[in-house]
Amino acid sequence: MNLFFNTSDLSPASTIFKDLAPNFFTIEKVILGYDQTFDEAVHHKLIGMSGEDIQSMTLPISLTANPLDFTGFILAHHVRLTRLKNFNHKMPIIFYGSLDVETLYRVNPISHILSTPRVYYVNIKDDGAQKILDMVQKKTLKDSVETDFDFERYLQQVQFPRPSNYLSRHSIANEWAILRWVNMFGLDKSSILDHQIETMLFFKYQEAQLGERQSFHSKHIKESRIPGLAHHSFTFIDDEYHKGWGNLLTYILEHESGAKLHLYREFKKYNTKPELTQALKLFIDGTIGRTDCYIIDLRLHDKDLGCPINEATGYKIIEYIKQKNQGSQIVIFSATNKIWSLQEAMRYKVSQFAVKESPEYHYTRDQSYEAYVHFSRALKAAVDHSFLSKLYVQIKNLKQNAQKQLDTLRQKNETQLDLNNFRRDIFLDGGVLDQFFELLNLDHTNRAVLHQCFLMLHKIIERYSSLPECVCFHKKGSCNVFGRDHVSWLVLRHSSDSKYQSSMELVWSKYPYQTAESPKTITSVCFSDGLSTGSNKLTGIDATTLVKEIAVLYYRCHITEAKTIDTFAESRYLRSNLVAHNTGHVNIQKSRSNHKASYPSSSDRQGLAGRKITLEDLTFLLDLLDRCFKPV
Amino acid sequence: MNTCILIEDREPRLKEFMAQKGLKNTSYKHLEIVSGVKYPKLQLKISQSDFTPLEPYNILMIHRSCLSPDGRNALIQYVRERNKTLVLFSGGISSTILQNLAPLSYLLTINAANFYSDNLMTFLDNEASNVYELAYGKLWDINLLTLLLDKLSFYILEYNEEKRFGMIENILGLNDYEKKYFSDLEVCTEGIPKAALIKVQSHLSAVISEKF
Repeated sequence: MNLFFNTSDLSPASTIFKDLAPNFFTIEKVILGYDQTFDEAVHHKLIGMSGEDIQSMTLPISLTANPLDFTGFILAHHVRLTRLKNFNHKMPIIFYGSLDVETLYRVNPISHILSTPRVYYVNIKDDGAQKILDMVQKKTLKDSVETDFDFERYLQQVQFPRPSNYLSRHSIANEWAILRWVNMFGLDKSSILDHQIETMLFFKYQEAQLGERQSFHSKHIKESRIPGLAHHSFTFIDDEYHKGWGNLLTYILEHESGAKLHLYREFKKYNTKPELTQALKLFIDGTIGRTDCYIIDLRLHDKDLGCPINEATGYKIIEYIKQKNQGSQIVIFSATNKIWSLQEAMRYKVSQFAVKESPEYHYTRDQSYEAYVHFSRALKAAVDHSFLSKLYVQIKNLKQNAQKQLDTLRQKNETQLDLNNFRRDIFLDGGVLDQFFELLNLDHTNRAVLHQCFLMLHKIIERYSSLPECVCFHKKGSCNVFGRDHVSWLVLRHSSDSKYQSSMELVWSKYPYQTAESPKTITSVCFSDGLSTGSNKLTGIDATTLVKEIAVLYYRCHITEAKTIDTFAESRYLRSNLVAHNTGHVNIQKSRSNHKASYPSSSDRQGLAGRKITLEDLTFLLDLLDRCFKPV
Repeated sequence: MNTCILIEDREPRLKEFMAQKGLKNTSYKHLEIVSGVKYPKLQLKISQSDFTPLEPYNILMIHRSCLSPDGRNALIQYVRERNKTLVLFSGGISSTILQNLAPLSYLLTINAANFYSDNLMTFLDNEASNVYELAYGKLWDINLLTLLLDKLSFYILEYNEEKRFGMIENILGLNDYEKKYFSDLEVCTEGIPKAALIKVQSHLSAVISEKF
């Protein structure tokens, strides 16, 4: 089949060729819908032609009534760059027109297709229609078909200017990266992309430059599911969400990974930058506490292009989120890979950064997949850190509650030195609790950080339990613990003349992870009317602080569950080991081999391996403190 | 003089262009610019296919993304019925296409960078009367001449008998601008020989080469 394209305004052309060679040409036309780009119209035309046995294509330089549209050249480039099953993209292409080739070269670079393989030009003014027929029917085409088609030469000879909305790498990376990922996951493009960017000549050219070998075919399809994200919530802020990111991330996160995704959809191009920033802040206010991770592009407004990166709207929003909650998890998802952008991210304590693939870098298939793996790891890491956001809120509330309680105590007691120091050191801004959060926020996987934080929390309980306003040990061993109402008090030692009395029995045994030579320690406390004996006779164990602390927790703070008290006793034992008190030995050989902290496995708990300080130990203590200061 | 309205939701792009060209909202009496705070109200109306605010204008220049595909189709229909010209510009359009919707109604789809250019200023300076100027800038007449050259060349290819100029004028669909290149033949009362047409063809070709 030899195709002949015509324009309606040049109807004589087809008549001439039909007269010259009846039944030789199949007359074709590109029908351009009014609300259709020419690229879309041509792409669909070619899809309709795939499967046909096409030997050649003859066409004018423009398919419309305006020669300077050069739509004939555009169609020919589509033929060369479109990859469709059973479509001969190497077919000989013959242009006809009345301008000289030199003139065409001068007018528009798109005409450079004339200098590429298997493309011919017939100047009807000089050569006439017969030459076209000769060319199609005879030797020239036959020869060209029999030689290898030099596609590389074609690519070298041609050039396509970027459409103006792709003048920045930022904008093109968005659609390019979407297209690459959609292909990588074998998804239906029409369900993801807002318009058919794969129909655009510019994109076809970019893909061709990447090379056929780096395209995704069925055997290269990758899984998009990201394990570990189920039931977590994400918020996505990207002004180009509508181009396909919104749909693609909804597919990956909600459909495939079982997470929840919130999208900000109210981007209005007519909004000024301050208006957009304000609208985004309002949106953020509604997401605080409802999202585990924010995925944010940096350039969210037209005016962000070309401005210093720290002035980008994305960073303004990140700053706001961090002001609201320093533990908020943010993944910057941007086309920028500039080092100063990354430095700025670190300034805002954003540790997760994923780069959108850009066509200039000619990612291979493996590199595209790596980009996705990096993105998914960033999300997973953010989810793993998302407890920090809740922790930040918990600490904020704890600080407020503690200050209220301590203020009440201060009003009722004149001996306030310890109380004031305790309040200042622990609960004011920059105090121990803030330092505790800062350390965890820095790296909660670091063992030294976990140890330090663990000791910090014990120190708080220890100091609280030593406040004269909370507890008082007497010389004979009796102990008064003041209730939260500051009226009732309890005596731990048996005392026949005491109106209020109670007792604690200390249970001595060993934890599974203690070594054989390690002495027994207090592993449990039973509260009863009877009194245990002989506890302080055991060598090396000073039970005073533990007894005091448990007494405060039990009697003052009403933390009465045996399991909680036992867990606290164990925590206290671990704390003593950490600060190298001579209270026992723990088999930590295995734990030392692994620098990073982790939750103890079941075998650890059975005493087969060392006992490590974990985040669970920290949250247990923090919950205890919460209960200590929670308003009655 | 044609009256124009320019509707742009991406205000920074417009402002940058206006600053570059020293263009003010009041620079052209026949141009109304709708952007920024004025935009949302108008956008709401036209997105509901209420085109009454567009009635006073002959030339409608709108950022393509301001409207949904359905909205655009409705607007195109409106433009065609009222013999107006619609210019849809967008950064995502890669080629300039000028189509006739009706004999006096045009649809120009054009890349935003090509739209916000000297072509727009020239178009406005010349009373917005020639949409070819907006589409092709200084080459607008070359576009017409090239089309004429194509038509004439095909006519010469199938030339079989001498015809009077009036018949040739009809076959080629010559307009006033194009007719001036046939001024020598217009006065001929006899049939036009092929050699005379080839002479015009050569002249046209030379003019085009020179202008390029």
